Amino acid sequence: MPLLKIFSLTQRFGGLQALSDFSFQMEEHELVGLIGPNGAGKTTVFNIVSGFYKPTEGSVVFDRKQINGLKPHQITALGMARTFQNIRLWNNLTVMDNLRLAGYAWLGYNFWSAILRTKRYWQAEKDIDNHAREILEIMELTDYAEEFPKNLPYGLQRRVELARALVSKPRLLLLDEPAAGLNSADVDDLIRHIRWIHDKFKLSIWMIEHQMKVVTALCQRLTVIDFGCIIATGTPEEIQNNPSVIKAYLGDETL
Amino acid sequence: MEFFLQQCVNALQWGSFYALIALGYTLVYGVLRLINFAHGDVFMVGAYLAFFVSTGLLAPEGMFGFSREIVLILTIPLTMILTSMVGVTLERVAYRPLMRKGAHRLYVVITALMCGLILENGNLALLGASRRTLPTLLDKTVYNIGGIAVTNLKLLVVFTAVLVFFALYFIVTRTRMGMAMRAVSWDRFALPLMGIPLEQVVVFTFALGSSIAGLGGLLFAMSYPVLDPYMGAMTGWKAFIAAVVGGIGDVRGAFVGGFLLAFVEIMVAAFLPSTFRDLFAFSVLLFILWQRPTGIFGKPLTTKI
Repeated sequence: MPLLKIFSLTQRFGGLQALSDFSFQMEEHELVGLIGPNGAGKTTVFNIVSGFYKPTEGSVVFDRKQINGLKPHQITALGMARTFQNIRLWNNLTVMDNLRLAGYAWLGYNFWSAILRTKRYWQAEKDIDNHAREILEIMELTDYAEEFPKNLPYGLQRRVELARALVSKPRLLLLDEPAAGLNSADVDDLIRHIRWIHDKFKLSIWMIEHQMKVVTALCQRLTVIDFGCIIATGTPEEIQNNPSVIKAYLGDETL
Repeated sequence: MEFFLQQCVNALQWGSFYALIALGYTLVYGVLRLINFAHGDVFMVGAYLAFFVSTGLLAPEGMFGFSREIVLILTIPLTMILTSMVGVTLERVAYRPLMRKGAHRLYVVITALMCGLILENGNLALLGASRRTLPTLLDKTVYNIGGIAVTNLKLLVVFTAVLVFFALYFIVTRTRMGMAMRAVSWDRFALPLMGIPLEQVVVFTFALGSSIAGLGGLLFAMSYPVLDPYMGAMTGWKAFIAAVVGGIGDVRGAFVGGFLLAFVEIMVAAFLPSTFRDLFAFSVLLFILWQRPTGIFGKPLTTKI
């Protein structure tokens, strides 16, 4: 049984067909990539899967449950987390608080136990704290726990966002261009971290990425879309030599 | 000197009302970047609800047989709960549908202004223009401290305002709900992905702000027991300005701004002709904003080029 199964997704925004008949599936513990030129509809796929958009047609099944139509926080609670193309950290909270807040996702929040500060509440707080510290250590961020994200260099902000997504204990992690704007040393760190969390937490990762270096180093297979349609699937090597992919990226030779 | 100290005590009481209302403005603004102009009228509704709850509990003599102290103790939570329901209803009925449809914030602010007018005129239509008088819930005791008269009611008002401030500050800085409120104010898109529904945070914010306004309404009605439908309008405006001067979005700012405005008002009225009061008060606030456009506790804005 695949972890994620997408049946012929179609998304229209007014007259614009952003996605047509997109089908896809991924197994437990897979690490796969989604690539395509700008405006091809990659982020639209992620926005549908994570519940931000309701698809015009089609359905998404995650862990045997149909999730299209659920709200984003409900989907997170089922074990899916994501990062964003442009970093969306809470800059007015410390790194540690950013992570703590993400702990809600697997713990839930009981209003009354928080007001009354019951024993269960304190236990839960402690669990979240420990878990967050563990993630910080894995991501080599412990030194920055009390910093505000806006004061960190860009590469570290990306890493904090990845750490925050991990705190919600996802089984599937969606990464939207995790290497965007990183220098080459940061990219090497990122590849190392993604590989490490993929092995350590046994989770499945689906990423949108433009940098071939990242994709070839990490992804077992790739899906390529252009103008909302799948144009190719295969291993990174196959994709690099696929004529229709080259055409989509570089244009037709006959000008 | 005694006269001055006496005025200080009065300013503390008057400032408590401003602070209690300003906190509601600042909370909603802090979370939604929305100026809830109906908030002053929520304060008025709170005062009326306090009136109905307390007279309801007192009136049928033999029915409940509560003493006035018990009635006061029951009126406080009931007023707060009922007023918070009014605030949450406003958000549900008026603001949320607009925001869900992606309306620009300006339209929501105008809607808030309209909701305030609806509350005022709804009250006028339902209850008529005659003023109401809150029954006496607290027997007046005057303490004389070095020639300064302090009533137990004044102490209660100031003590409550300080208590509310610390409770709120604790909620915003130390609890997960407070953390979520701050997170929404920064980036609401990331929030649901962390497993918290946005609506829950917004409803909590409105409930919190309105219940404080309800508490303020009750204490105001106990201090100046004559109620009329427009009592929240001017007080609300002033409290809003106090929140802006303090630095809107910041809980400390609302508190400090409220007391600052009250001190200027009371001192001007005490030492100058009382017709100068609002002119002086607002000139002082204008001067502060001129120096610090984002308010006393607001962070200076810089635009990156």
